[in-house]
Amino acid sequence: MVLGLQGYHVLKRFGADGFLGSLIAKSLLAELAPVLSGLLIIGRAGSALCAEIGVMRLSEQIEALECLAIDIYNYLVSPKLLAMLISLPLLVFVFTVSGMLGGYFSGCIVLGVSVGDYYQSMRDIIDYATVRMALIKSMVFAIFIVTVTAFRGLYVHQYSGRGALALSRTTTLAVVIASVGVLLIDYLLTAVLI
Amino acid sequence: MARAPNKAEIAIELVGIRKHLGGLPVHSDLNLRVEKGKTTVVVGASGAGKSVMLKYILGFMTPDAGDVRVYGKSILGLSETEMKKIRSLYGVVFQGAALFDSLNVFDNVALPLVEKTKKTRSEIEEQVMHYLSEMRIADARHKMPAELSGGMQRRVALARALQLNPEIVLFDEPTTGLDPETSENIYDLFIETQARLKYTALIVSHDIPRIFRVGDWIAVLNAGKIESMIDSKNAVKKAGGWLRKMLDV
Repeated sequence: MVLGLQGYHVLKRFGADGFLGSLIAKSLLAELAPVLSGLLIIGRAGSALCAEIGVMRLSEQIEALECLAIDIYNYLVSPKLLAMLISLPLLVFVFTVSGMLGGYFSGCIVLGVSVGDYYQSMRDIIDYATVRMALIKSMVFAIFIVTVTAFRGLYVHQYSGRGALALSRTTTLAVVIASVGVLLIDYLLTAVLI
Repeated sequence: MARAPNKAEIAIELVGIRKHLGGLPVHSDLNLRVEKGKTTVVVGASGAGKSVMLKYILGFMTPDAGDVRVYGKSILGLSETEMKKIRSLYGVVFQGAALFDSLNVFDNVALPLVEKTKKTRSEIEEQVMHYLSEMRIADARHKMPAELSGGMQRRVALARALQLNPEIVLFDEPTTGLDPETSENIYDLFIETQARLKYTALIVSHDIPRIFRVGDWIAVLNAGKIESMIDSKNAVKKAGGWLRKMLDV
């Protein structure tokens, strides 16, 4: 909705308010949805994943799995990676659709942009390459987020030591590394895929 | 002092182990032999390096010098795949039970069978319920670990450790934090299962002298090495050094 408001006033200055749909669709699908969904997932699920696995390490549950000759990567990390690979692209889709509806509300209903222009400009800009970019970004982010947060949790004893403070430190670090990493990877992927 | 068992009777052997952690010596010329089918109890003060010793045997830590042998074969320098084969010989009861938070009692005990055997659901259920009944916790099968008392958690951990019929069971402070009555119950269960399954047991504990009744041999770990190894029946009578001091306290 904010994007609709801001975009409308910028485009209006150039007499291009009919392209509001294009602006919203392109910026959402190519950038905002994958990156913001990734950052939200890091805060919501990545931190929880790191803390959960970290607690398992500190309470010897990981050692117990290893003693049962159970592969901890297959048993603990793989299901979470699969879940993230499914859920992040879906969230990107939900984020994009929500953003488009928000843009419709602020642009068409509040500011009076033509509904036809809004949808037509949206349809013109959404192509296979943009959708592919959103999908690739969300999947690469998913792999990166799970890798960083799970491994930080798994090796909390080596990175930060043992105890509650160590777990708190490692979770904070995992969130920071994953967040900065997502922004860097976003730039690299955009440079390659654009 | 201990008689010298012949090589074929040795399940685990630690030879000339030296280890420094954070610049401080933990073990200096640690030697220990765990006899097959018997229960060896290692007692020592907190911080004496008892749990570190178990970590060598589990392959989670490597000594600076010396050798760790299981059935005569050195396990130092083994690949992770080879170490997994060694670990499949073990059942382990950890100090804090180490039950999986996200699984209930039944699923905790069933996990080794689900992951490592091809048993059907009904076979697994039958075996798990048999063990839970033996441990007197069948009623708690649907409870989560956080809902259990310390004693119940240890019993679940013991049941889980025995699911794959291990040849060697390692216990890291199995009764730490438990009241005397609950500790005695855990020891009773241990004695019952050991008599039935005939596994080799290595128990690390500082529950002196209560732990003596479960062991065949009592090894005293002091100043980084095994100070003495005594037949458990005569442990109180023959105890010297650090153990004597503890018994006299």
